[in-house]
Amino acid sequence: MLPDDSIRNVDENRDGKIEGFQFKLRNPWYTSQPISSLVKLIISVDGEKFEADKVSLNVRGQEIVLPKAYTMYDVNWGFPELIDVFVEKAGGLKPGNHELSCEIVMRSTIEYGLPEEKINFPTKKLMKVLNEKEAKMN
Amino acid sequence: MTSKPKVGISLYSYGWDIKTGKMTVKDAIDNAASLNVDGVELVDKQHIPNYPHASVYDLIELRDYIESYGMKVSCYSTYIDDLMRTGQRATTEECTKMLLDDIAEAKVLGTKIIRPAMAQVNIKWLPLVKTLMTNVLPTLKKNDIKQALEIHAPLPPKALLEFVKGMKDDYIGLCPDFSAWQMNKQPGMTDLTDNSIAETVASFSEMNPIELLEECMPYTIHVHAKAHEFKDGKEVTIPYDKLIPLISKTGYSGYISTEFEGWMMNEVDSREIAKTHVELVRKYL
Repeated sequence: MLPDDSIRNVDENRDGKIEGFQFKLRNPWYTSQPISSLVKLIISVDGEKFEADKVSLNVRGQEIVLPKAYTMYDVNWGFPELIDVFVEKAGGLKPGNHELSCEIVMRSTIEYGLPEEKINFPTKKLMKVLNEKEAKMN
Repeated sequence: MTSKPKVGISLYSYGWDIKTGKMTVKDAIDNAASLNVDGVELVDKQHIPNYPHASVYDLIELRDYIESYGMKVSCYSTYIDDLMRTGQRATTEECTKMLLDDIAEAKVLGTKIIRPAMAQVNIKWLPLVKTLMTNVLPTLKKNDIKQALEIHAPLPPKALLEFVKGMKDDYIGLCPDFSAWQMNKQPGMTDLTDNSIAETVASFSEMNPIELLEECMPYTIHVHAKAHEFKDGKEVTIPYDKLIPLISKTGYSGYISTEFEGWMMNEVDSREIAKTHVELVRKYL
């Protein structure tokens, strides 16, 4: 689900101020699914949890704030497709290694008889936060 | 001369390598062609670019690529996603529209069989399935495409057989999936973090009598040769040595489409799996 080994700090406005960080996430489901099939996406770094309204998904250039994603059935997360997850955090993450944890819960869009039609996809990975120079080289 | 079943591969079988970006859909078609099969089955939510907004050009390209190898699209497997919206089921009209779109895509793909997944686990949905099928039946006939209702664990084959008999129309048939004749618990299920899910899926493993498959064969228009794990060339959960000869002796001339599902639990080499799977089906034909 986390195909890369690194997290990138993002200066969205190019004003020298880091607004947050970003990483790639692979659709964990076995098919393409509407974004509304996301039931939960909890992101934490080194144990620090981020509220849903600080998280947004970039799906093929379309930026969707997480609380909106939960009901957005007309945008699909493809199979296979990587999306960018952006987390708002002024100043970003310090360069070096951090443990990124993503707790994803998705639900089926047809009835399988699973409890509440949900499946959990917890994942953790040690990620390196690149400084600006390293990020450019990548 | 008695007819023999055709052998096909569902590209679903390459799920691990496609999901992780190691193979493209075209790579999977190349591999299927190298195994000299008659057809490949496509799954809309896995293999159609920009799903659910399929472009006719993408469909034509896929079809032509498959046919350039002398193969056909054996079946178009689709999903009627009635739980797409959060907290509200799709209406009958919306489901009918999804089904009509699937039929139109199937027509472009040049396949004669469509398998829309609906009522997968509970026969309480069969009245809705009947309504939907009745709504699209004229379109199926006009386009010479048959619709298969899948017999998939844990649904009782008998109920689906009676349902299809009751429809009294050659354009509605069955697609038995070998999961209904699974002997053992699916490997890897115990590794699931959620016990209740593992229990639900394990309950699918109640094997139905083999004779039930024989009863279903006159109404069968497509077969899913499901597999979960191979050991020494054998499938560890499903009696291929009994199921394939039974299908073969009935004179069924449609596709037996290999459908490997073990990739959801484990990392696999899809090419090696596809080869083993096809060889296993051919061994008992």
